[in-house]
Amino acid sequence: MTARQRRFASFRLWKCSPEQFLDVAQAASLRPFLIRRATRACFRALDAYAFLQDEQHPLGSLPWMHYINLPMAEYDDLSLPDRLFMKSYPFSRYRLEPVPCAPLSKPLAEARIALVTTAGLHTAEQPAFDHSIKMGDTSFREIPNRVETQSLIESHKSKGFDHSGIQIDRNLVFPLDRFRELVARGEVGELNRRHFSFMGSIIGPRNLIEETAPRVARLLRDDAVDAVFLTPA
Amino acid sequence: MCVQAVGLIQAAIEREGINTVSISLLREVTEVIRSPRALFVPYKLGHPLGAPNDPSLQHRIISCALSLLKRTDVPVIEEFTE
Repeated sequence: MTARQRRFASFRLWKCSPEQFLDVAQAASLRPFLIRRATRACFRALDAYAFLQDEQHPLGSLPWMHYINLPMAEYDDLSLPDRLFMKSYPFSRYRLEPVPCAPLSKPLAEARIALVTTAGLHTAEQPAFDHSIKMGDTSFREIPNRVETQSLIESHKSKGFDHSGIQIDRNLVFPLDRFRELVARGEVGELNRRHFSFMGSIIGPRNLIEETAPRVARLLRDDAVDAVFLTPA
Repeated sequence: MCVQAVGLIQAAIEREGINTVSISLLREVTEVIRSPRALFVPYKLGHPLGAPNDPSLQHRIISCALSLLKRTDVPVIEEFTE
């Protein structure tokens, strides 16, 4: 095949379904490094992954953008663009070195626990998370411990996961009722007066690392919290 | 990306001297980030506590995760099995 045909094939990658993607790649007998190069080109063209999750964006509304529901979360279960993104994202840049370690200072039955989630939950009075921030909204919301769990609103709009379970039961991502039961049973000392909620989909986590996560950590320290239970979405 | 964010927030909290444990839905990401203590659960994204309206399963997952709190051989990543 000619260089021109290869370029055409590369250009088509992000416009096709996963099946078509393979057809095109095979028809073009693209070698793995060419597929990788084409993938990188796609993402440069897309500028930021956030676009993929935006319904208003022409690419975000393509039918193959929809997440395929499978029982277990593995890279292979993700939709093609999500998978390409996860494979190419430089996670190792944020590798913890050294890994921090704070021992549990008292028995769990006497400990004060706080919950932290990245499911984008907030109370009805609080502003929703901002999806227009291309690299991700790194802000957080303070969830009062007395809140009625099911009254929390999820403003995490990512198409990267199935939201149906959270709509049915907020405890699926923010198990406040379960922890209340543990306190009642005496297995956990007490719950902190507040918990914290972030939104995931943070592509550029610098502000999270330098600013908002340390701020939440200091607030938890000020509350004399002994242990924190964290959940993704 | 949620899994990465959890690891980074968890690290900030642990640096303040507070003990933490997290749920992971993508083992590969948690292994690279090296969260201090994580329980990998075999459920799809959006389902860290297994299933909606299943308090029994949610309790089993929480209990398994809380059992990791006392571990100091970080990074710890254990797998939840029924």
